[in-house]
Amino acid sequence: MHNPASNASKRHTPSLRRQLLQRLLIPLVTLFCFGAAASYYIALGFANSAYDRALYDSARSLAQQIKVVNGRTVIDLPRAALEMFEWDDLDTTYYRINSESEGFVFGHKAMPDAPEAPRDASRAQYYDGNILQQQVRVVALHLPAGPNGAPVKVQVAETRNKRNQLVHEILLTLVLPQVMLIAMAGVLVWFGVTSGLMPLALLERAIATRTHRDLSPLPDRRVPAEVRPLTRAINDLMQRLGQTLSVQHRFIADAAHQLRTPIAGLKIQIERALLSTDMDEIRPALGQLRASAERVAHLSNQLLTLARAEPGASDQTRFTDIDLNAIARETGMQWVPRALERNIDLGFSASNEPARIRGDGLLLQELISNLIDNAVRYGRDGGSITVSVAARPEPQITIEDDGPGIPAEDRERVFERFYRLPDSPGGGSGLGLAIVREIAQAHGARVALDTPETGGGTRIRVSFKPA
Amino acid sequence: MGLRILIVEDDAVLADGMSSALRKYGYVVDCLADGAHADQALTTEDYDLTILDIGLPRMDGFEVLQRLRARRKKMPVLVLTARDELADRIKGLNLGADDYVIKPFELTELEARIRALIRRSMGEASPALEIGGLTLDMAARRVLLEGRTLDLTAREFGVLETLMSRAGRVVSKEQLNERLAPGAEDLAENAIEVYVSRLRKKITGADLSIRTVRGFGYLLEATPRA
Repeated sequence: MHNPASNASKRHTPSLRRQLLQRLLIPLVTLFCFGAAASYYIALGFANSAYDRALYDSARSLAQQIKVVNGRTVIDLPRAALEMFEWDDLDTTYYRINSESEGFVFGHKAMPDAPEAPRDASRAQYYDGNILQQQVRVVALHLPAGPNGAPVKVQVAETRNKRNQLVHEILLTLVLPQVMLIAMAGVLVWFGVTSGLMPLALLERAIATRTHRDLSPLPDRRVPAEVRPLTRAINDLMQRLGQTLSVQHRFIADAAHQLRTPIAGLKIQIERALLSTDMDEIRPALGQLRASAERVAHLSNQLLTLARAEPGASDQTRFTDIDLNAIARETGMQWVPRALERNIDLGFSASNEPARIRGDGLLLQELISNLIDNAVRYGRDGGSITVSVAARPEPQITIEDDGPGIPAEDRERVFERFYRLPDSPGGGSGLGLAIVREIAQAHGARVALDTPETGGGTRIRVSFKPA
Repeated sequence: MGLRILIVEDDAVLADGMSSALRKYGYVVDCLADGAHADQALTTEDYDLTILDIGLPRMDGFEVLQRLRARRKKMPVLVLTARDELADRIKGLNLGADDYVIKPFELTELEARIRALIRRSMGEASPALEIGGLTLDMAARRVLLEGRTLDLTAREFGVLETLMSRAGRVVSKEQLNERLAPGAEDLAENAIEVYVSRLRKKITGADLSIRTVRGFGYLLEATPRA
């Protein structure tokens, strides 16, 4: 099945190599194109100015050979000289002489004329044109007074082969090194990225080849400075993961042990009952069975609650606006019958104004239940337990009993999982206060344990952040 | 002939425990261990109530329930679940479960829920409540103490009815308020206290007492005869 979102992200996965190449080569090639165009025009300028001079000289010497014979303007040039004039090894030269008074005098009739009239008739005019479908460079000389007094125009045209060759030579010397430079930059980026990312590839291999149990830090020798924060962050994560895992392992071992005890009780009682045929002997075993089963049920419920309250498992999006008064009253009410069994006076004292927080209702019920459960379980017969809610200075819920209390040195340890006070009466899972602390942490609340002002018993206060 | 109950539960020990206990209570019980068989049985047989586990082989409980309701069967269904996630409960109820019990549960609780569901489905009128020699007849709105009718006002009757129907559990002042004057403004601060103290006097002689639970409300309980 294809997930369009993951497809899109795959398509957009940035490749360092491609990015670098793009960023480097696009501007380089653009610059190169501009440079090449500029070079072309500059080379053309050089070529023209070099060969225009020769063309001008040709036109001049041609002009010097103009004479008037029998009243007609003619060019006095031997045939051999003309041929020499017309040919060199690369280019063909054309010429034409026009007299204003006589019109075409001599040369190649199809000579292209200047695209525009000369601005300064005394100076030679250079322009490009075509003769016999060949590009030519033309120079036009305007002689104000020919031998017979009338103005004469001398035009000499030359095909562009030499010029083009020169342009090509110039371009080649300018552009070729640039092309090679760009190609080299590309190759360097390509291999540079590969070798630059080598440490990452090594890192990847180091991570890929380890087992999921190996949480030892990655070696960060030979790791470049840019990558070191990454290895350090990974090693940090590994360490925290390791701590969490070892807590989990210990927890599972503890949980299994805690479950085994009542289950062992169950088995023993069942075997005892099976051995007996006398109902009067079976009954007490059944009573014990029920007590053991209740302990297993209680413990498994507590384990489940703990799993749900764990950081990461609890989901802030489930938080709603909750008045501590309402939830404390509803939860506390359910405990009254249990308290009455021990003749304990379980009471409630609400705050005058609502004590609003944001929280997970089910988890908060568990928190309050566990606190009351503890107070009822470990309080004294005929004693008193008070659940109270305050709205100020911050929303808080307090559960106070007049039982035997918790010695000062144990007040931190009672929040540990499976820690039970020495000599405490049976039935508890040792998880109640651990659950309280986990749920409080999930809500960003603080738990404080002390002795009530009356001097005896236990007071546990959970202080929340206001909604 | 007793009421017929179908238990669909794949854990043999739990199914056996429930069925033998319910037989003792006088029900006629059938047991099935997988969803597909249950679906078949529910199509062909008539039961008064079904106890349905969610995690079943071959067809899960939600689907059995869905198919049952799709056939427009009104029979009450009590869902058993090990998952106490709220979402599952709501999902179950939306699909037409009438009630749910979370494993592990007490047998007495299961039986009470079954009785309530069957009573509701048979449209049995509000019955009489009897605690500690005091009989409250909901239909006739009368309270009898050892055969003698007690003279109670409507509000005193309302308070007593609420407390007796939740005997052994705490009823808050808010709940009593809601029962006496639904949706209305709260009664005067101490009105409830006045009704309760008058009630206590009037039921003197019955073997029950109305306990004030500090800050929570009231709790009615049977008191053993001295």
